[in-house]
Amino acid sequence: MSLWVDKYRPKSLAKLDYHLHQAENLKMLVKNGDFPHLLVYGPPGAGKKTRIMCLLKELYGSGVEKLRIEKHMFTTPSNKKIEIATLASNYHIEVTPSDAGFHDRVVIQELIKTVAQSNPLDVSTQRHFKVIVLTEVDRLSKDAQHALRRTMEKYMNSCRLILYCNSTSKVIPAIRSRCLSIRVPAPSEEEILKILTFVCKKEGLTLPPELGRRIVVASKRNLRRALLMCETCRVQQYPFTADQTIMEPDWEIYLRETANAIVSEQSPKRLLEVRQRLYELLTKCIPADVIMKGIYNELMHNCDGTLKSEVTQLVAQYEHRTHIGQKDIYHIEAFVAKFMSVYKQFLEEGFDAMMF
Amino acid sequence: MDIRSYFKKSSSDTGNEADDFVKSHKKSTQKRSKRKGVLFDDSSDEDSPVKSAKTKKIKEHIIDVIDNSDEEIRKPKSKRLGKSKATTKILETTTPSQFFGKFNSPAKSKATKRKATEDVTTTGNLPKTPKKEPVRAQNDDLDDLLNELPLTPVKVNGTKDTVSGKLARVAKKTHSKVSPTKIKKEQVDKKKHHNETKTAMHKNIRQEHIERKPTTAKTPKTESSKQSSNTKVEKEKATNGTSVKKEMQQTGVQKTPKKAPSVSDADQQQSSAKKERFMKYQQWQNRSGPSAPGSKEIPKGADYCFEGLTFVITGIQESLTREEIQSLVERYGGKVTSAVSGRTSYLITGEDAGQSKLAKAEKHKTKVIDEDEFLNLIKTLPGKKSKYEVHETPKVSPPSKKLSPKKLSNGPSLGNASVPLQKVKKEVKLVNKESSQNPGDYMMWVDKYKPKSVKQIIGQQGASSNVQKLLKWLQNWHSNNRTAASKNKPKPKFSPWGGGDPTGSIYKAALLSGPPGVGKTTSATLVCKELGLSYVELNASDTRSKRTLKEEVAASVQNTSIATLFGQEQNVPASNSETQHVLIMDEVDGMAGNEDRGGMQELIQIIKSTKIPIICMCNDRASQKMRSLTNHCFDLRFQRPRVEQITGAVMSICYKEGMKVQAPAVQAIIKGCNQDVRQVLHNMNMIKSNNNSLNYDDAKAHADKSQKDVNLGIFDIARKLLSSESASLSLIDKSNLFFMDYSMIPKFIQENYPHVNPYSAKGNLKQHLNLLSKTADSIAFSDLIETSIRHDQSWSMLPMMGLMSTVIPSDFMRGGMQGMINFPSFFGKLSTTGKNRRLLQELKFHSSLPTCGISEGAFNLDLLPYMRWHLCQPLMKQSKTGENEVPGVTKLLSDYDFVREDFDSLMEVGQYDGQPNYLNKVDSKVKSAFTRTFNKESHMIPYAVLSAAAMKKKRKTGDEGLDLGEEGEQDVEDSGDDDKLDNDGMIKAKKKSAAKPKTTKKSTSENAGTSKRGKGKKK
Repeated sequence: MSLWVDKYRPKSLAKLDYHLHQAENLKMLVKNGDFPHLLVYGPPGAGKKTRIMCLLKELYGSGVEKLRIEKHMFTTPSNKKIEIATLASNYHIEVTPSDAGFHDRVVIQELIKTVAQSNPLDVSTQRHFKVIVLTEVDRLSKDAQHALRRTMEKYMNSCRLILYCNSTSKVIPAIRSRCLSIRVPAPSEEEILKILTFVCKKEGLTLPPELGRRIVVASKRNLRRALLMCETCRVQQYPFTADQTIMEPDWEIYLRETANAIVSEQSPKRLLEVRQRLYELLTKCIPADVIMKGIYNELMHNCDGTLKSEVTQLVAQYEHRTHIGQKDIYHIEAFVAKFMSVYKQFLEEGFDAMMF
Repeated sequence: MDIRSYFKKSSSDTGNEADDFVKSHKKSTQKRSKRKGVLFDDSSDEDSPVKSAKTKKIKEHIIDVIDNSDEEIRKPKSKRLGKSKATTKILETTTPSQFFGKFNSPAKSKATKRKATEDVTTTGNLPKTPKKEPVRAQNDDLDDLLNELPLTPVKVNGTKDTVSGKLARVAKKTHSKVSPTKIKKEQVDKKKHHNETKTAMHKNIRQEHIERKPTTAKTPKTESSKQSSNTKVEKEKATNGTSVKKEMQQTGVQKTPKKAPSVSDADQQQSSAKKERFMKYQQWQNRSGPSAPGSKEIPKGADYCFEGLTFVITGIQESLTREEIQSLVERYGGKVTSAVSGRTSYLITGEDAGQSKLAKAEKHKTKVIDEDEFLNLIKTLPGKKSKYEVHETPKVSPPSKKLSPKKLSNGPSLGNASVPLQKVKKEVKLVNKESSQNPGDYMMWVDKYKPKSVKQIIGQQGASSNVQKLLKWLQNWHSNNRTAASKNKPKPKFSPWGGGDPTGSIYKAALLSGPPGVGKTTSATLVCKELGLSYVELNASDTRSKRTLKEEVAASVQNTSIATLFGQEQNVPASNSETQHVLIMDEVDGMAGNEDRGGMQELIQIIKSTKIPIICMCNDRASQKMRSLTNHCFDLRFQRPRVEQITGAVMSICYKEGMKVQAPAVQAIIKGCNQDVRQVLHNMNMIKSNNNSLNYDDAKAHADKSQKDVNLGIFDIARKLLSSESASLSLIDKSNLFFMDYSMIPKFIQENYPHVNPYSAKGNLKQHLNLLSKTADSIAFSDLIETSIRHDQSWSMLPMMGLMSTVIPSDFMRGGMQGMINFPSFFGKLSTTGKNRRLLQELKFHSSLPTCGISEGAFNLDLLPYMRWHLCQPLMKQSKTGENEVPGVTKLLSDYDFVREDFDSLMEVGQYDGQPNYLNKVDSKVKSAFTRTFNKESHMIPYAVLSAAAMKKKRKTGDEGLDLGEEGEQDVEDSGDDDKLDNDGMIKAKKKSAAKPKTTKKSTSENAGTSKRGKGKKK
């Protein structure tokens, strides 16, 4: 009884539900027998990983589905041992080098070399190359990316890389130019709705279109989340009603409360409370940019005209700083303090204007 | 943020303040013109040539300032500077202290002084004379600062002067180097110019307003306090309280109208005394600093005009902080206490004055005054004689001569044993002894006035003092340990009271601990002398490694006669030889490093087997190094003597040396030295070599200088930077504080800055928020710099980082610090983040087969919240309805290849503070049912579970073989897998269908797993 998200994951390119044209292209790519390195990117919950797995199946047949997970040990030049989990079949290996923190360069160099240097024994029955899937490439350090550059070309005839990330902005141009970029956009609302009804039908349920639409909106075009929400609704209450509550992730609720706390009172005491809440989010590994974005979206409801543009500019500036700096809390807190100051000023001015 | 804005800001600030200065300055200039004649009368009494020259100059100066003040304004400042230079030239023959000594220096002979005061009192012009002086003095101060007089003991009390003075000093120092300092200098000049111009105009206005000012100034304050207080009740009370105070301030010293409000207050207090007190406390916590710091000019009063007076300060004054008032009072010989009593002469009130103090003051008929009256008091009170005043200036030689016979008489009394010993020692003491024979003036005071007997040790006179304890302990040592040594009688050592033994009879060694300069070594040596024991001292200059200790010390300790080592037996009566030795191990905490390796352990061994007493000394007994030693030693902790205790001793020494000092001055020095007696003496010695007298201002300046060398703890630094204290720190000072620990201080600042109530916000919330934002900005920017430093090794940016992370925040936020300094929570949060990340990675890793290798971010943001819910919801339902939902949950868990621990980590990572905790709604029976069912089922997990440390070890060896095997083989066969399972304890489920035959093998690992899970259940 896996969750629906995993239960109804398409297993082959032919079974994909949307971006059919792109699926067609991928199929053509495989048919030609060879293909370049790929860089797959797109927002979360758009189906990147599903597509990669489908592509691999198309390449190697059902043998790819026999996955195993194992841990690899690497030794850094400073003699530190790091352990990296990999997901592998006989034809491919998937690894997240960024798990190793700033030792990711070692992972890239060692792993790719060992995998790429051994040629498959029986070339007649299968492809002459293996596939290495590197996930979360946007979290790779610059060093690691540069290490990747040369390896990509050197071992071209024995392995192919599929890089996979949310945004290409952090991938260095040298790597981007060596790959065929495939963008997987988020499915449209219609497409998500179609899938939801399809899944419900398979489960023998009927999904009222109103509820489906609400789920789609709440999921923000994230298919994974939409399916999870839908299943939660099913457990909460069946038969569905159009206006039943849709469960949101806890961290989103928490983030919203935090933003409301900022708007409802601007004082040093409140700033300390907000800091505590921000720490709570950060310790739960919610990325700083997600926090910034979440707070910003909530704050926007309470701003008007001139203030909106000012706050937008501010949030952009501070979010940028979180990327340059190391201590996220400093920057988010600075933004909150700045907003409090600006907002207080704004409120007082508005109050004065009303008086006269 | 541009650094220039920082400077700009401060300059504009001073500009604002300048207006205030102007007012006050003007007032005094006008008054001056009226009372010109009086000063002349006064000065005519003085007959020394220096004095007359000086007064002449003063006269000229005053006339210039008064009569041609308008002209002077128009004069270019260069010209004015030139003139002041000229005047200082005239004075070149006189020393600076003489120059300033007109008002408070003891250089003026007592007779003339008394005459002067008598004159003043008889003519009845008493209030006028001192009033005139401050202005002139301040002008002089400024001029002096601008010219080169680095040694001028200028310490001015007015904020205006301190600001400008400081700037001027900085300007002087860096004059040649940097251009920004030029700007500063210009500022100073400009300010001076400003002051002189405008003072001449607004004075009357200010005088008129002086009555009203407290009330007008207060109204915005009350508003702000309203804002901050949340409840309505609080508001009402706050306004009530302030209105009472308003009345009081208006009425001033007259006491009659005060009764009514206090009665009503009493009623209120009766009704809700507790609430009231809490509210008061809150108010007190949120108290702000002076509303207009530096707005009032501080007059110069007569010497010791507060002598014998006691003050109590309450509430917030308009321009002066509590510390400033205290230092003013002390400067003029007064005393500040904390509670009102019958002996209190004045109660200085301000805003938010304490009701109980006021009530008490009324009871005791204490005069209640406000700040203005206090300042007035300084001006008007006649000078008195200090009780510490030396009556006749004694010559330098007699005291030392007087001392020397004493010393000589002391010498023989030391006993025969000590003399030969001291010869052996390479101590300075020996040299001192010789030098004391021919009365040497070149001896350092510390040695010259070293206590000669136990009774002379400062702060150790009491019966229960450390010295007495040590004395007793040493006296009884042999009787205590003799029995132990002879082993005939049972040892009395292990008495039931154990470590709490006040006499320390069970210990063979004593450990004296305490800060440097409080007299540990002195006590130890003197106690030995007192008892007629000889001693050998080993200190940090001797090598004290295990080997040397063993060879040299241990042997002698066992020998029971150290004197024999040196062939001095003939001096020692043979029968007593055993009882007459003590080993003094000085600075045992310095026994570290390669030199003294193993020394501490050896010392402990020696202590265990010693036949003579051992006295160890260290500074910090809590340090790691001392841990082991402290268990074996009689613990004697030396505290710093109180200021008063030191004062007396130092005063008497000063008298003997023929130095004129004031008690408050000495106290300032003592405080500056942090009650380190040795350092105090060194300081006094140094001052003496420059100067024969010391007044309060010099001392304060000197103390401030010496204070900088005190090494501060990190919490103290943070407090210093954020509290009002930082006002007295220059940019360089703050930056230096940053460099004391550049990785920690910024984090302390970041943690604590929101707790500060900045003075510059003046209780205005908007302003406060603005400052917070600026501070946070600056700190955030410092993070960017730090990133760059760490990344690119650009350490040259470190000062810049210090500026952004420490100096600027401290400047913005300077104010009242509430509560204590917290340790940065950043570190704790960082480690929590690391832990959660590890849990997430593991969860992701475990579930990567069914989820097709979901990324960590997606797992955390999307899957985790819903997964938690799907796991908990059935359990919650079962707790409510009783239906058996457990199988569904265990199925879901095993579908995702989770183990029982993963369930807990899922719950932990997804739980946010303040959000409803699902597990709380689950019945404990259901929980245990769930755990039981899950453990009963067999789960095939596609990864290795490391349940025991032993497995981990095995795994390391097995890993390589496994890798090799999988690399070559296309598909791992079951049989091959089994072999590996035997030696590495890993379980591989390649395919669920293929895993069946493995279940038997798996049970081993699962058994290990269950034992762990069982523990989880118990929780």
